[in-house]
Amino acid sequence: MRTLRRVLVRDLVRLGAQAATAALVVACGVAVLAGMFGTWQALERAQREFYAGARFADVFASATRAPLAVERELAAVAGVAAVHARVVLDVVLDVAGVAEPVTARLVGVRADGRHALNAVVLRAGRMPAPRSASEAVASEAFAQANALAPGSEVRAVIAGRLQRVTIVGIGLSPEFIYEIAPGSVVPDPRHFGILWMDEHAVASAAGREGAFNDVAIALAPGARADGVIAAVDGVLARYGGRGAFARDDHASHRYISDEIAQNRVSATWLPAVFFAVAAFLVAVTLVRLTALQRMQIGTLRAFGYTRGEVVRHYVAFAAAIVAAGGAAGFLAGAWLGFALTRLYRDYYHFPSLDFAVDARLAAVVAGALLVVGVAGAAGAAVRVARLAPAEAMRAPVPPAYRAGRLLPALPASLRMIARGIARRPLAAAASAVGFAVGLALLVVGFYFRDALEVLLHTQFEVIQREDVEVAFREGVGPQAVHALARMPGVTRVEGERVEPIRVLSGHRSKRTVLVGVAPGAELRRLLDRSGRSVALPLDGALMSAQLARLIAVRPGDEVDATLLDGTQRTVRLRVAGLVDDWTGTALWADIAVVDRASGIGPRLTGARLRADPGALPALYAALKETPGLAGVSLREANLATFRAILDRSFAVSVAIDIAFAGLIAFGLVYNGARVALAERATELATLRVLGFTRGETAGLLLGEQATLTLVAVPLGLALGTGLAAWFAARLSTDLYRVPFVMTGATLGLAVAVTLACAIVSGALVGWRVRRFDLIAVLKARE
Amino acid sequence: MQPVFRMQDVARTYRVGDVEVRALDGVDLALWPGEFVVLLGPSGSGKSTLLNLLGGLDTPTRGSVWYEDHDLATGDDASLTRYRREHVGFVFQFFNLLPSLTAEENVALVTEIAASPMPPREALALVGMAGRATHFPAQLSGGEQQRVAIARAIAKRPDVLLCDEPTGSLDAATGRLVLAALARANRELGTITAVITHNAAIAAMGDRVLRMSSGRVVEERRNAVRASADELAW
Repeated sequence: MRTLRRVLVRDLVRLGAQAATAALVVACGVAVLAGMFGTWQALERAQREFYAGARFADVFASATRAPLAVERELAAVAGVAAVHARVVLDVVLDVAGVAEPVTARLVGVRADGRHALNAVVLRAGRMPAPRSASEAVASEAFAQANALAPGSEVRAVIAGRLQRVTIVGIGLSPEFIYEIAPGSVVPDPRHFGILWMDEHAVASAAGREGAFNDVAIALAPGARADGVIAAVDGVLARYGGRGAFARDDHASHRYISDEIAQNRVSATWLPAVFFAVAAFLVAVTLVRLTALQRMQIGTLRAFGYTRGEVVRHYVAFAAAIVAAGGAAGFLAGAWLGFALTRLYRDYYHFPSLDFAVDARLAAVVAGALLVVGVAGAAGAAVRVARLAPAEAMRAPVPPAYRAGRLLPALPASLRMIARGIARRPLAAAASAVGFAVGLALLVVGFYFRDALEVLLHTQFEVIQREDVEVAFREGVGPQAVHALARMPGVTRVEGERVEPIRVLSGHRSKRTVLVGVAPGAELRRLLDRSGRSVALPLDGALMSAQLARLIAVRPGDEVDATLLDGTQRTVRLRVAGLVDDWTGTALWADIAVVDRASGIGPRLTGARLRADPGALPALYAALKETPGLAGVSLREANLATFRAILDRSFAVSVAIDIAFAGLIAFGLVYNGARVALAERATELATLRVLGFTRGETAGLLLGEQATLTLVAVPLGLALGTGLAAWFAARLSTDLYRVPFVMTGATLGLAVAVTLACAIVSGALVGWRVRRFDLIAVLKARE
Repeated sequence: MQPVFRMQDVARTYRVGDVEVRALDGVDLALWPGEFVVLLGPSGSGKSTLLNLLGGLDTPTRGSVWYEDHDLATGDDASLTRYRREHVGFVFQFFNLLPSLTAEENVALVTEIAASPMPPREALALVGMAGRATHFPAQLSGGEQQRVAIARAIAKRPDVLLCDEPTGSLDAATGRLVLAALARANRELGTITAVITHNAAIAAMGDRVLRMSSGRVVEERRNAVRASADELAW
């Protein structure tokens, strides 16, 4: 058996390039599987452990002002296990080194940091001293983005006074793992952060002494969120309850859970593609090897090697490829996993998010490798087992071809190609499908970049026309617009009234906001599906198309909107049209409509400002000292943050997509051409002798692969476009939508990249035609 | 009359491992228009090497090989390919038909790249294979395959037909059919035909017989009367 092992090693060396191609595709599959599966596991573990350790709540609610005694009332609701009531206040900060105003959410905490729910995990420093109004724990992302450490100071307008707040600690909370400003889609930790301060200090700053405006609730084991939410809404209705919601509507939780779900999907189907291609390549290589070595197989059997021993010899060939690819892939996968979790740590803030190479990961990878090995070796093993020793010693029967009815019109050379494909339809189809999948991967990769470019452009350059958006802490009178207009450099101000509502249509309802827009407003465009501006109706409202889908509403329908401001007034609104926006699920109406609906007359909750670009620094400085602001959002800064995130993540993912798709294209064409070369060496040499040039001969050698590749291109483009449309639909949620865009440039680039890889691998094999020893090939009978 | 091929002091050596093999060693040879030449000799006598040089498949280590005004000794791959394409027809011992093409298509493969070929059917008719035009190699006997190969070689109206053991893998009766086809092509198209064989019986068919041994032409004789293929026996 030692000699047989030597044969194995020499076969592997001789078919090195082909074996290496197959091993490389196996390695890709394992790398993606190990990296993504491990990352998925790491995210899930981090989330589970953080939620359990810090007792993340199940139900959340906010109200205008509820006396602290109501906390006990809530605790008495059936199904409630624990309640944590507190005051939350949004303020504008002045952070050293940041020209723009920064928005912070002040969250009241107890000095010992021990809450029944949503505990703050200290990463550095200490909790604020009891009753201290000048100490805070800053969220880690915010602290890192602004170089804040225990001892740093920020300034904030709190309770009408500009106050200094000292950062005494850095912390994390399960509520703010994904730390985004309300209404935002991506985190901007430089301009938005969390400050945990003493609960009395925050209550006093918010004018809520002896009261709370925010509550987190844990459910008793087995309790249903729906029932508790209804009961909580009932209790808080009197106090301006905004409508309780479960974890599924909690922004941070949603983003993380969606990300985990997507990881699970990617960790499944992407490696599956690679494994399918890898199994195919192993099978093709091995079947070819056994066909070429019929005589060797016969000789071994004639010498008395058992069927099992000979089969084992060839299965070992597959095992060697799979094992080599698996080992390389596992290392690459570990690297990928560490890189991915590091990337995730920038966006998701867990106490620990660690990629772990554990037994479970190893078992999953081993299982996948076993499947690839078995699938790759089965065909050849069966052939070897079936081969009778005597049959193996005879010359192979010449392959039989069929004429084909449509072929006579073609030149003889093209007929050879067509019949070659027709003789092995399954292998040809598998090769074309594999290539198409590789191309589709690339189309999808490029699609995401395009989609987000469109999203960026539409959101920040077409829809949002303002420079600055401000939110008032409490509703203010319409005259506030005049005060803002007098600020430095301001050229236009448009007031806005945003009211939280519950919209109801039939039995479907959804918590959202009703946005009152000033007539003639220009700083925020409302666009329809084809990108045209939609005018606000004098009466009724415009609805986000996503909301309309969710609650099954069509233009012309009427819906009930219940204001969640404590009045619980319900108004009937006719949906005059739909707005195709990219984030949220709002309703828009003329501000007069909202004012009438509220029953308390004109009020503004925020405003959009346009300013002279030269005067922006002065405007920022003034906004930092303006009392009554709950937040400031800057269009340019948002755009820059978004773009930085995209550029960073897409640089990596597009490179990976190109590498993977390129490898698939390369592997399939290379393998196919090598098989053709081995099987048809005599044929091709004959052609050379008959006067065919090297180019013509290489053309016939590569014709089959070229044809399959060209057939695969439209298939891949269709598959890629279909996948992109599927992703666009799947990823469109009430949080944000991903537009479906497919440009000729994207399709062309994807085709160019994959074809380039195919051409390079084809050329590598075609080059061998030059080295043909015509005399030797012709003398040897196959 | 000028010879079509001229070989002068041609030597060809190969290196096989550490051993230098002298396949041809100082051969002088001329082939004349319309000639049927039989090259006889045992294995390793150098006859295949000689045929390869005439066919532009190989170049000599020393000496000159001319086909009319084409220098075959120093030609590069492109010029030798062009020479084979325009002037040479090959017939191989193992036929070397393309299994994915029918008989007619195998012929068409060559006529498609030739300057003034005959229609494939006509070439097949010349070798008595017109009735099997639509058959694939797997459906033909050895003799039939070789006749298709001859049709493929003559269809482009080559100036020279080079045959390497054309009957080597056929029985005698089939071999005679194949040789008859070669003789007919030589007669009707006036193509110089060189047949290498170790079968001495075939010698009677040639205008001229060259016997080779150890890389040299050791005997040259001329047949006063050419025997027809069906007179041969082996």
